[in-house]
Amino acid sequence: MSSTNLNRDSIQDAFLATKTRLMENRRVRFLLSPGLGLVWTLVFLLIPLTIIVAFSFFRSGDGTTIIYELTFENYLRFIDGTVYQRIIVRSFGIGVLTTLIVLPLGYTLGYFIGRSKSKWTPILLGLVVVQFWVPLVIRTYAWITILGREGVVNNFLMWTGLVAEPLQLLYTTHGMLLGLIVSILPFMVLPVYASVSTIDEEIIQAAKTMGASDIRAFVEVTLPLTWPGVVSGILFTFILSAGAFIAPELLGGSSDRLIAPVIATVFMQDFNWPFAAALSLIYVLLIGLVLYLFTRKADLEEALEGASL
Amino acid sequence: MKSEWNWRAIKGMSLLIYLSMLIPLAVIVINSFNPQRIAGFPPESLSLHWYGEFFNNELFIDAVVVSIKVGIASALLCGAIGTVTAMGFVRKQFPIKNALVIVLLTPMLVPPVIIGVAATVFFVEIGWNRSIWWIVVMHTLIALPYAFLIVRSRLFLFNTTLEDAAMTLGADRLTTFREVTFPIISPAILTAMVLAFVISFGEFTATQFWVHRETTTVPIVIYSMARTLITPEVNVLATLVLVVTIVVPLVALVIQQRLSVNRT
Amino acid sequence: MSFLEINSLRKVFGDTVAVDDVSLTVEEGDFITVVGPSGCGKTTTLLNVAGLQAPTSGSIELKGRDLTDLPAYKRDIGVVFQDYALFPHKTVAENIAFGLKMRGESQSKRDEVVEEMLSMIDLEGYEDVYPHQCSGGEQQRVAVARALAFDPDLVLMDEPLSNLDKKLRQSLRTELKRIQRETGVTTIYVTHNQTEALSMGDKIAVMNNGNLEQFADPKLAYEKPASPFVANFLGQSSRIDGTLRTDSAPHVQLENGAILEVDVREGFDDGDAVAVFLRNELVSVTENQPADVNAFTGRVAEVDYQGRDVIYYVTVPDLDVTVQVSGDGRGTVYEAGKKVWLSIAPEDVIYTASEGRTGDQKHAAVQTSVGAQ
Repeated sequence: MSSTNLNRDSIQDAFLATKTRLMENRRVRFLLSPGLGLVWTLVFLLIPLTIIVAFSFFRSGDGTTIIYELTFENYLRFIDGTVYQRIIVRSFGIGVLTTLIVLPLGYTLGYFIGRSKSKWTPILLGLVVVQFWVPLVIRTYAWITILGREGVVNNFLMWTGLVAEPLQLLYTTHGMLLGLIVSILPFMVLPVYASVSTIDEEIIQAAKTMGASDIRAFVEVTLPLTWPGVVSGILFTFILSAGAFIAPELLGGSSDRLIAPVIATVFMQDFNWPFAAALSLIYVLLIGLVLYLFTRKADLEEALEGASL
Repeated sequence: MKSEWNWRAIKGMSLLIYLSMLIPLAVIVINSFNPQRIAGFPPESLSLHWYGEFFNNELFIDAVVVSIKVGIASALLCGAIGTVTAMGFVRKQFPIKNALVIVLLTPMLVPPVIIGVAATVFFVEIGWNRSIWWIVVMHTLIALPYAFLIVRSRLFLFNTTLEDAAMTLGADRLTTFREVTFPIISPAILTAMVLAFVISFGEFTATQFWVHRETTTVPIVIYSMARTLITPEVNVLATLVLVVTIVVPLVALVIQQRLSVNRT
Repeated sequence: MSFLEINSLRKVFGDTVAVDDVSLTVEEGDFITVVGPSGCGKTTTLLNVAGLQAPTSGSIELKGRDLTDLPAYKRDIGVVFQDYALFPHKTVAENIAFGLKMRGESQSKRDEVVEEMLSMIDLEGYEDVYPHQCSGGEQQRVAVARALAFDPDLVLMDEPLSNLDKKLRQSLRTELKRIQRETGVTTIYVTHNQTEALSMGDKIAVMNNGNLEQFADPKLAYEKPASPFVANFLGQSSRIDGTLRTDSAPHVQLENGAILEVDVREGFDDGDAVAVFLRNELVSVTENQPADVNAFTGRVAEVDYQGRDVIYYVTVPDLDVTVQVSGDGRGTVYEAGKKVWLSIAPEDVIYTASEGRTGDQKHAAVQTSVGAQ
């Protein structure tokens, strides 16, 4: 082989190698692209949210029309009237209240499943996971059949003779809270279960050998170790209950109009898109504030991960 | 040792919670077999009467078809986008990655009502006519964080030496993905897709902004019936959905177990 | 031109220099062991040769072909990974045949090779078994078969025995050597285990801090270490610093004036600062003063009884060190506090330049071997 040939061969080899590498990289870059999900989120959520900001400074005209001129009227309407302020306060109040009730209940069940080491454990866990799968509408609708005038509870109470007249259970704040709590419970149970089940029983026994009582061992060992699960549960419980739509609408009374249904009404029935946009923005900023306070105490990403079990 | 007394209290409380979660669902199922129009409880007799009525009602059947179509489309999109995105986030290094993860997860944080409002305004403003695709792209958005997180956590556990091994054996990157990476993470992708389907199938709050007469989904039908007049067919619909939403993931779980037997 | 040439390989990660100017030449059919402590750059070197990492600078040539810019999948280099990296979703047969499949070989050809390989690694009938159903030792052999099945030019092994228990490690060591002998494939074997490195390698490359300290025949590296590091790393020994004197009877003068007679090593001159290494097993320990030239008295500070052997830590005032000595565990075992005599023959005293490498061993050592002494 002459040296020229060899030279040409090696140049060709090098060229081919570079070419394949480039081609391959292009295909691979697509596979590894972190951008696809980001673009989806940007286009279908972040840009729409930005447009909402703009809309909140427009004015609603006759019928479904919108007058595209800068105005603060939507925000003034919120600030001047106490109606919408009260709705927001009430929504966040329901959020806090639900969280306070769901936390101990959900923790108890999560702890129970995590600690019950038997052949039933997968079933116990499965019954909670299944709650996630059944549409929220159905789980909430079910309470109508339970709490209604002709519902299971009233029929039972009348049959026993404990009450003469059916009780008003449906369309009350208590009814709404009941539906809300039960439907949100899995969001607390699962993260707590996940962190409880990873605790080595020996660690707790070790605490007890060192003289800790049951309660002491729980407070000193179990609780801190399950804290990440609790934090995740609290985050979801609060966001979901403060923004609840179905439970207040299907089970709550007339005083239980929370912010989510109110925004929907303003948007879909009053066709006042600018005002709905302003309310949405106020609501989302308040949620953002809560999240900001949350991130100062806990890791947001970790908490969100807790929900993807 | 668990202290007996404490443990009994925990057990009792747990039982109550289970009952509160399961009794309402059981009542729906039982009521769906109650031939009475105004269903008393417990029913005096059982029949399939309302099932017959249900399958003759186009409104219900159409909603089921729409929900299944949307669910499958969103599941496929979430599986693809979630996998590609998770691959990118796990395997690539780029600036402000941690902040971008939070961006990806925002659909979990923004209340669905606001997602509903914002997307509607956006689609109307860009002149995109209301169609089933509104629901598909938006359900994909809503379920994407979950799909992403599931695939990502699988990828974190993935031993990249397997890919190195494949390449030393002569597989280029694409072949390596097809032959090694994908088969091994596929159970996680399946989980992500099933979850996306379930989320899509059950989404109500945001979806109510996007439906129209032809694209009404199951939750919308049940909600509007529950708001106005409850016909007994709703119990049938709810029961069928209950069965579907429990059976589909369970079947997926079984398939996944089969897949994972040799792949762990 | 040699079979494999690694020229001035350098790999930098951020501020860390993982491999710093390593050059190595391997002849066809050689079994090379690369040994060094963790973090010495041995695995990085291997990954660069495999094409799984790109060198910062330097080049790699195999059979006269420059591999430096070639992706891993075009290099025809088989790799056995530390954790085996068997594909969990593929059967043993599919794992072994993977390289052939990638090369477009027919199913019948693949089946044939798989059968051949399985018989070579003594796992006939394992075709349809999944890796997780195999024991650690079986997985290890499958990994070796997979790396060999496509008839690579070179096989790299990255600590392939480190995840196995001691007994299995020993039997597989012999097994690997046998397979290498049978196939004749050029092999580079990375390990942190000096016994493996010494026993398996036709040549041994000792690395430290990203540098190649010595590349030589194992016996040469053990007996004539090129640097204090090599002397210290291979075998158990005690180090004493001193000055070489060759004017009269060759000896090393220690700082406190004591004298240790030695043989003269090529490349050393009178007055060189040297590090002396007393190999545990080459120092004899006796109760009475021996007649040897290098005899020192000391006191047993600690006794580490290990059955057949016993390790003494003997404080020797003359040498100002505590010397580790291997004794015979079957005879009388001295107790701590006992006064004993240590002695070592001059030809058994190992020494190197007290800093860095002796001469330019990086390149010089390549040409040396025991036969050439």
